Amino acid sequence: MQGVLVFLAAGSRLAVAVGDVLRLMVEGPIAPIPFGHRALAGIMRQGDDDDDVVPVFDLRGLDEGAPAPPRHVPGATVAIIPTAIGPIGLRLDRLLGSALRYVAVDEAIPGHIARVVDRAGRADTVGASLDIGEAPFFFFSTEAFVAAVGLADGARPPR
Amino acid sequence: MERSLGVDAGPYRLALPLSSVRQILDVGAGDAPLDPRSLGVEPISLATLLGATPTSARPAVLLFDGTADPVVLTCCGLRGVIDAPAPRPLPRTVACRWPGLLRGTIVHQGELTLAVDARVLMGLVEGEGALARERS
Repeated sequence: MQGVLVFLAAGSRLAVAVGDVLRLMVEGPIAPIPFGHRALAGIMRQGDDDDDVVPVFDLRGLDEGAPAPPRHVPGATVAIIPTAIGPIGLRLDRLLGSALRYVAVDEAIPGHIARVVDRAGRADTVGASLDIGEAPFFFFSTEAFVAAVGLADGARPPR
Repeated sequence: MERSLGVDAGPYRLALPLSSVRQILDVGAGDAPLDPRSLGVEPISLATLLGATPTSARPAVLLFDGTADPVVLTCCGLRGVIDAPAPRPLPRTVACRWPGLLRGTIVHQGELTLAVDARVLMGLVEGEGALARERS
């Protein structure tokens, strides 16, 4: 079983495999993008290369009934996570820690994150309880996320 | 190196190709609000065109080469001429409705600036104009 990094994003406990996180960064200046997806805060420089930029997403933007997420949260933790079409930055509310052991549990997925949770069906990734506290977490799926923001198959995000 | 005009449009920091800016009609700033009648034509706010709220009551005014006719655009501020290498394309993970509008990013004075494709921008201007005519 691979260790996982557990975090709070959009008010929900999510996790990704530790090996799937390229790096953790402190949110720096964000350049907003015209006509960007609601969940896209903007782009941010990463690393020492001036031209190396990454889009920063806030999962609160996926909840269309909620107010739009802030464009910039200075000092927020951003997890850089690879996807099939390139890296994304995921804005975290808080990093909760890591866990080496977890077990699958049957837990209802909160509606506003349902679109980005792994539903692949592997028993240990459907949902799990965690060594860190008692609350369950859900696995963040990059494939589901890419589809949720309209990037899959070259599709354009909805208006 | 490419030469462009750095402008602010609402929250967006943009670089417009200098070759497509025919004239700077007004550098903006100052106290007196812009009177559109002085231009003889209703200018189009670049910030509004991009779906944002303008941040200046006294915008700069640019005369642009449109695809058919000249276009008067306003922007919230001028940042001056930028000489920079060709923009670096945006990552494919940038989720936006008009990806062709942005040629990529350049770094100017330490900040990320979005290089705009003037031809696509003019298409957007004319599309909005047609929509406005339909509404009226």
